[in-house]
Amino acid sequence: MTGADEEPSLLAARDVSKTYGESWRGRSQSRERQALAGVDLTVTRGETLGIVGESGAGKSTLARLLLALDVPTRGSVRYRGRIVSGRPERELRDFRRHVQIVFQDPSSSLDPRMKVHDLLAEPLRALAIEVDEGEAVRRLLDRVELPESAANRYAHQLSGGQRQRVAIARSLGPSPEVLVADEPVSALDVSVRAQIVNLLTDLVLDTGLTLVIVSHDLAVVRHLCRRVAVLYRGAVVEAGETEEIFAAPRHDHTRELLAAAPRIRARGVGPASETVVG
Amino acid sequence: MTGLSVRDLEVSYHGLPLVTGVSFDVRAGERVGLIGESGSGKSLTALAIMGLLGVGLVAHGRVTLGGEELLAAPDRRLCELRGDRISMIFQEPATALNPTRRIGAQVGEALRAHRGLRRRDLRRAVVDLLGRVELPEPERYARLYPHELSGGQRQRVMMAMAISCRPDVLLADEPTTALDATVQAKVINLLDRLVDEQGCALLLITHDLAVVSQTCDRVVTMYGGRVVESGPSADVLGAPRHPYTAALVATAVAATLDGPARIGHLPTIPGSVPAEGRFPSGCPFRDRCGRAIPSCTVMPADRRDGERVVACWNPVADDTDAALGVRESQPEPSAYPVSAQPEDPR
Repeated sequence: MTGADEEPSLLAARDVSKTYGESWRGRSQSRERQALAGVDLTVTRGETLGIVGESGAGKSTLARLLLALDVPTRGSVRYRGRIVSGRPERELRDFRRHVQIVFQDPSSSLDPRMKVHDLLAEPLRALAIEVDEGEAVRRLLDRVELPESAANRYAHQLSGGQRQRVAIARSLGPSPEVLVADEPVSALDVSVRAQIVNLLTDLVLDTGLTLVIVSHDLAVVRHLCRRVAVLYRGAVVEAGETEEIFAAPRHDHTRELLAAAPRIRARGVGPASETVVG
Repeated sequence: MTGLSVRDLEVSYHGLPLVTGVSFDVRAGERVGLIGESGSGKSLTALAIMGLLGVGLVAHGRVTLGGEELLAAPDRRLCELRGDRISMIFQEPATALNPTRRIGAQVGEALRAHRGLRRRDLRRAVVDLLGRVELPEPERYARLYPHELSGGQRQRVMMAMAISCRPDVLLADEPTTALDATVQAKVINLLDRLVDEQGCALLLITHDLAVVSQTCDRVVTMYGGRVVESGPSADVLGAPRHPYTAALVATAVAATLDGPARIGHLPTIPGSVPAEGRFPSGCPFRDRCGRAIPSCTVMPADRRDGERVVACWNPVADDTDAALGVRESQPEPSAYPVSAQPEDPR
């Protein structure tokens, strides 16, 4: 049981493994692939956690398991101490309301047939949250710094950055405790990327939202997350305070990731340019 | 080897100018990065060079490839040149490839058309190309269809097509933007190596300044359909003169591990790129620019300083650190020129 002086665990993965089965026909690869192997991860209330790793490390698999969108082959995921992994959807209503997701590409995560108003109102209706819909939509648009007039637009009429704002607003509708964002800015232009990072920063600072960012982008994780977990070949190889780990990585793979992170290497640019290995 | 020269290029849509007075060179074997936010006119410039503008879009000015004029060239001549002397890699390989034809047939198309290769010679050349873009089992991949490949593999196929006839000039329009973020670095490294091996000139369109700093000799910054700055990439990225380039660099540096270490706001460029044709008169950047002065209502002429060119009435001087605000203001997030201004929906 959690002691009174300990940080309460909000969302936790215990020894989760995930093996994907038979490959689809046409591919001559091996039959089974282990995406995750015995991962332990705890997200406490109000914390910001980054899950980093290269392509195929298991980041997105872990995110899906934390969101109860997939069932682990072994182990369990708990929300507020109750197992959510493998539960039927009708028992997850409370969980769905309190744990929300933002996807990488808002162009494909937003229904092109719905206006922004409906995109934002849909989760409220689906979860039977009783609010004044118009008022709720106005509040959400304001929260993500979009004008009220955006409510009457379709997603395709918005820029990439505006679409990601809508996706974030949609996830905030049910007033979640936890927001899981899978590569929330990697599909965006660099200047728009900074705007979305700033918006997420404000959400965390203003509302105490618990934020889990899944990303290959170490810089984004460093801007947004106090804690970080490094995934490598389906296992957490290093976890702890972001600043400490980035300053003094212990695992070889963390060092590799840090060395491979993009840098603007032209001379004179950036404070660390003299330390950059060319 | 020959280079590409663009002079006073203008692209308009039913009289509405979208690209204005664009001039730059890509010398033989040189790598030039064309940077700027989405909506700055980068892709239109590339499509105009290739003679691939859509219906209603008209290009004026001069585009020459090894001295030969392209804009005025008849379609038949362009067909001879495209895929042979000049070729292009597009942003979205899933739509640039024909879904109904096998990879091998598509990669071999230019060799068939321009080099007259057939049968065994063609097959051998295609397999060799697929191997050079590091596709595993090139023989097998040649028989697959685009949908059986991953995004990164499709972009490798695009590269194989583009380099098949050893062009003098290669245009790459955001070649990695549509790819999974972790695959991007691998594809850029491959592009870098292929260009090196072939010694062809490269015009790389991207908003990723880290990539530009690592691969390009020179940089051309576009905004509002105009070239606002150009010069050697180390100089331009190291000490930008145009406030727009400076803002791009500050934003980009902050988005790398050289940016601020602690949680807080990142610098952004105030406002957003307006819709096509909605840029202000005079300098297109003046309504977003912190250094704007009354003269900016008139478009500034290019100021030349050796290899460097900047079109600005009030450029960032070498001795000011406004350009490198990130470096100067690192300790306190509050010191950043933060703009919380959202983009306006169009």
